[in-house]
Amino acid sequence: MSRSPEVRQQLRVDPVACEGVGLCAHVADRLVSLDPWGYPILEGDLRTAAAVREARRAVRACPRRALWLEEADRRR
Amino acid sequence: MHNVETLARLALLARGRPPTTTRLLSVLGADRVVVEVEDVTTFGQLLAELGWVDRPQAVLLGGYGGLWAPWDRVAHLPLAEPALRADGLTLGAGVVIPLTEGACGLRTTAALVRYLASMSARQCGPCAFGLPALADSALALAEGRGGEHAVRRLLDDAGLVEGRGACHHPDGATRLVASALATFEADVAAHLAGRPCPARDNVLLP
Repeated sequence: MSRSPEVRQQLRVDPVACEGVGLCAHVADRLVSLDPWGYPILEGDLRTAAAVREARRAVRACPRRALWLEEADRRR
Repeated sequence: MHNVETLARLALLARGRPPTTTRLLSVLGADRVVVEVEDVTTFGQLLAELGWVDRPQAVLLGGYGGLWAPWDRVAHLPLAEPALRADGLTLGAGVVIPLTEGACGLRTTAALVRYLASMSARQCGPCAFGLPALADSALALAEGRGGEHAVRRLLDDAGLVEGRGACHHPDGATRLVASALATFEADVAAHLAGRPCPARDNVLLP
């Protein structure tokens, strides 16, 4: 069982940098789905350590460096 | 970002004058005029002053990415931001666009979404691709195509665009669409039922 990370993290996308390559949805299919034009729709908070690992895979896979992890929504 | 109106107000404040109770509005009708109104002036008084004889069916507040509101809802309201906010409305950039009784709100909305799509900076995929799709869905609804799914499709397309741009340009379009569905609810039903729209080709904007 994976425990909830202490600081909740969130996967984010820079929509300008993103070119809809779609690798993120392949390596993190539980967190990322693609819209009809191939651009990612991201799962909100990453609730488990496994989800964080999966998100890191997506961040590393992106050829445009358009994805990153950050502390869950402090902006709202 | 400061506009001339803001700077003019600041200059008056800096000279020790009390805050102004007026604001500038752009009113887009047959003529496009800029007027200075007191914040107690109502929408009804504004249009009467500008020589409108016939009451409009609705007004678009805040510009092309703004909010539609039925005329009956706003006619008695003052042109003051706090009062409008309390009613879920806003003047936004200070643009008021009355829709005449003889115009089609759905066709006009579809034309506005098409215009907003053409104005996309095309930096973000959801905006560059999503707004043209949203414009297609809005036109389909206006033309009574797609039956009962037309509204669903329009809402789905709006959901795919909203909040997914680096700027809020696409969000203006989804706000416009959502307010159109509420304001022109009766027209939506009539268009989908295949009843001919008498205002079919009467689109004055953008």
